[in-house]
Amino acid sequence: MEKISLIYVLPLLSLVIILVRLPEIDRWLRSHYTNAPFLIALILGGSTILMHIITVVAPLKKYERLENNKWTVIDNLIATYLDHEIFRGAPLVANIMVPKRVLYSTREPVPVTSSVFRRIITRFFIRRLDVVWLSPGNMMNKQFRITARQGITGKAYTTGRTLIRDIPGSIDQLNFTEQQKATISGNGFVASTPIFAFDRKYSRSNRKIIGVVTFSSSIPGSEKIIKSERNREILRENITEFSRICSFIL
Amino acid sequence: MSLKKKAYKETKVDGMYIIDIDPADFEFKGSTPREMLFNAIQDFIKSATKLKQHFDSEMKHASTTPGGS
Repeated sequence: MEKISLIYVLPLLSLVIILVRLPEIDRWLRSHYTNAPFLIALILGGSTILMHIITVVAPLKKYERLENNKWTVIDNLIATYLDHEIFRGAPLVANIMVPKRVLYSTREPVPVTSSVFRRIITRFFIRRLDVVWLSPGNMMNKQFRITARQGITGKAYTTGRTLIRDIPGSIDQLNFTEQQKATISGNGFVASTPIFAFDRKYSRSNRKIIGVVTFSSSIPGSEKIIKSERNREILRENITEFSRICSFIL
Repeated sequence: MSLKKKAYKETKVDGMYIIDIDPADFEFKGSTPREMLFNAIQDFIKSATKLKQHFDSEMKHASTTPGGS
């Protein structure tokens, strides 16, 4: 940053000298051309702005474009290899969630038997899981938002393990409120795995969890897919590979 | 395959299949992050193709009716 700011110093200093109209300099400039101070000020000001655009604005725009492209890479991968080809009749929906600490949230159910104090205190400083990407062509109910203590995704985040579960048999064990349950189909299965942070210094993943990948299918009967151990093994392998890609991108 | 080969091991607790995952098992091929990402994508494609082939063959077996006239 200090190096970048140096490029503005010379033109801006010259600009200030001209604009404050030091008598000697002003007289000397006007002896060459009457409008010289104005012209020089215009050139210096213009060149400073141009330099700022070339050195700061343009590279930032480039990085912004690259930042947006990361989702394009994932969109293409998923569209080609998961949605359309793998489970015929039971397409997978994939999503990526990242944790976000919020001051207050009423998304988690509170046991009726707990004290008023406990009911209030458990609503503060909640870790919410926000969807940052959803496989193309799919939609998610905006009412369905979860915390890190809810659902298979929340458990995968908190335990740091890959979890696979059928939904019909588990809907009441996922710590959802009645409102949340009403927003999901209650069919199919869910597979979730944590995304570990990639340490660029050592070129390896570390234990810090930066998000969760979830593959799910809500087609009635698709829960039969996870009954076979071989299916679960291949599904686990695939979702882990996907989470590895996400660790580079997130 | 970019995950260290280990026997698949899962635990079933209350109907949920739990599979331990260790980030140390991830092997990153390549010398630059870009190269590593490219290789990770290739591995994912291979794994997805394997998944597809497996399910295709499974569905083929399921739809084949034994005998009949």
